[in-house]
Amino acid sequence: MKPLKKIRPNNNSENKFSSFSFQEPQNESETSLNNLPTGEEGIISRLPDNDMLTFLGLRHHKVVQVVTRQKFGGPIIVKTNGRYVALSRSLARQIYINKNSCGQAVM
Amino acid sequence: MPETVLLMGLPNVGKSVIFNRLTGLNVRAANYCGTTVEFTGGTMVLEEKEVNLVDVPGTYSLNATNEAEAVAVDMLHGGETRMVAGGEHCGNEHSCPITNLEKPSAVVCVVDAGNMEASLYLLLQIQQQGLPIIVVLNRSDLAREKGYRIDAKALSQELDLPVIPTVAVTGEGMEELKKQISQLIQKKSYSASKAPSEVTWERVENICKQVWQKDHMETRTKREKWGDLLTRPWPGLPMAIVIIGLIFGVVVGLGLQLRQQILLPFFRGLIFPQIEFLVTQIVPEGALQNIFIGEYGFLIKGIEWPFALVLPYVISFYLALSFLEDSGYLPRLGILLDGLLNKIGLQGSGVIPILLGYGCAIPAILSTRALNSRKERFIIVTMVCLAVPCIAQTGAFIALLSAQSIPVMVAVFLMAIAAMICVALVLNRMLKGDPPETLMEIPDLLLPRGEVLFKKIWLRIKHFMVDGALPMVVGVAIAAILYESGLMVFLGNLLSPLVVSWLGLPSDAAVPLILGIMRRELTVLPLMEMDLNTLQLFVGATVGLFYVPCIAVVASLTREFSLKMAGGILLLTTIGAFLLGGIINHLAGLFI
Repeated sequence: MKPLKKIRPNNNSENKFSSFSFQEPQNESETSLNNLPTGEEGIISRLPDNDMLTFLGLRHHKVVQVVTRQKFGGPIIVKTNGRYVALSRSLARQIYINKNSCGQAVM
Repeated sequence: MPETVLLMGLPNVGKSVIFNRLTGLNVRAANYCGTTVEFTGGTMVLEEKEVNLVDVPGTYSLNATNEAEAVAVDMLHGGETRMVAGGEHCGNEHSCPITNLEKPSAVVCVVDAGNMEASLYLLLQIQQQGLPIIVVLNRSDLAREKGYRIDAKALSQELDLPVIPTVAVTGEGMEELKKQISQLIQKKSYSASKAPSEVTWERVENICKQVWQKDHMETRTKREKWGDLLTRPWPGLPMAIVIIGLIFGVVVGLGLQLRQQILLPFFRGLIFPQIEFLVTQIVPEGALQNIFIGEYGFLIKGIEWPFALVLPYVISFYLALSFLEDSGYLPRLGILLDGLLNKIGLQGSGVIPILLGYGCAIPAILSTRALNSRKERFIIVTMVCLAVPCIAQTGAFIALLSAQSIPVMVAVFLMAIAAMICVALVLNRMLKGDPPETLMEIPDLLLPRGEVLFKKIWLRIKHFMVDGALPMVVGVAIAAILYESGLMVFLGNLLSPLVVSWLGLPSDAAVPLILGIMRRELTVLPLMEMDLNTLQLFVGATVGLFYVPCIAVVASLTREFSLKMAGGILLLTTIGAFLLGGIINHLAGLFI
């Protein structure tokens, strides 16, 4: 397994507007939601302070699954609690996930 | 003074459907967030007592973090409240504008059975306000289908509130709801004992654990599978192209068939001969007779244009749009295009106002209220006003161009799209504001219900009859009078440097330019009578496309934004239309 520290967003230009400063994952199993492969799921460990995220079900300790990634740098779609949420890549980069040990690919 | 009851809940949980069921009114409802952007009041009669019901736009919380929420909080406290009548544009004649709202007597809180956590969070916040509450557990059919089981009894005990499971679209549970509201208002006693002192997600999750269960593991319904497929780039993007093509086919094809096979033969074969016969019997030959049945005779053109040339497209367009709206496909289309739209400063959710704009610009302008930033609103409204023809104008373009030159028709529509992209690119550069950050929920994909669709389409057609067709008849009558009184020649001479020398059109074309201020399609329809060549058709259509939005649109721009904004749009569209039309005329002149 590649060391997670090296994982960076593929396209840095997307991030140029974001005020967010890229934080390193804190441990081996933690990764940003943006880097979670399509079909895999994990548990949210850290996320930015954004009310909208919590209303859409993206909160601490919630299980999320990446359903798909849109083309043209568009949003990624995640499923949580049976509901589908679209969020931009830059927001997804600010949400950290602990990979589910028994995470299965559901396509 | 009747008592006031507020209807509150998250976005897209069916508040407007319940509102329509309870009041018998028809506010616009669709399957995406932010359909209701205005407070709509209506009266319902409960046991011979009138109760004022208010459909509050959906909010996630009462934290007052945005304007909609702040107003929702205001409404809960009563006092001065900005309340506007009407669901669809220009208002609904039955809903009542209320400027000063009594403190509400009760709240009907609509809970989405498929989204308990967020719903309960809002519910607990409303409970803190100390008002009597009835909980409506809506969309319980969808939750059942997904395998969720909600113990309404346990929920009721946990919250100490009445809970009524409903399926608003079928009317299930509505009688019970009416009974409960009337009981609650009569009783007027309320114990706030169970209202939480603090609303936390922990508390919400605890309640959910007790009342919400999943029957079985992860079964995906057919609906969910399709919803999922349509959201993925593959096969979602190719399918989007197919769906848009289908929609275009239905709108143009069905409209054309309705026009050619039914409406034109009906009017030309049956109605007009009767009118002509009658008028020639009563009115002596001359100018007056011509006003009725002459070149611009308003009993002929004034009926043919709105009812035979435009109405078929109104029917076919709203059939397609209503289906798209209720299916929940539009947010999916928005998500698929989000990345592309980001590059011109927009979000995927912008496709909804733009699509609405192909019907009429006014609902499009209103619906931009649901967008996140003012910059985005501004860009989309400018795009719609400049280059999105309303359905009446589209009908007029098809009537003018399809018979004579299909390539010109295609060119005009492509030019419109190019102009929209240019406007967005320029405004995105010019205006300050953060780039959009997409974060939205994707609603369930639903198969629209026949009766609901039918009602919606019928309402929109009725609306066109009143607000669209009548002004058109008046417009044609004005044209007839101008023509017969000789004023037309005077106007033609006056505008001839612009119309004849710069645009290369016959001097008669001054008339549609004046009528176009009243209704957009009137810039196009009179051109049919002028025997234009292909270049003139293209120039005329170009000017018609970009020329000023109609007077009603200008008024709503002033109301929603400012007089300055409306003036700017007027200037931009007028100058843009004449500049482009003239350039095309002169450039083509070099080659022909």
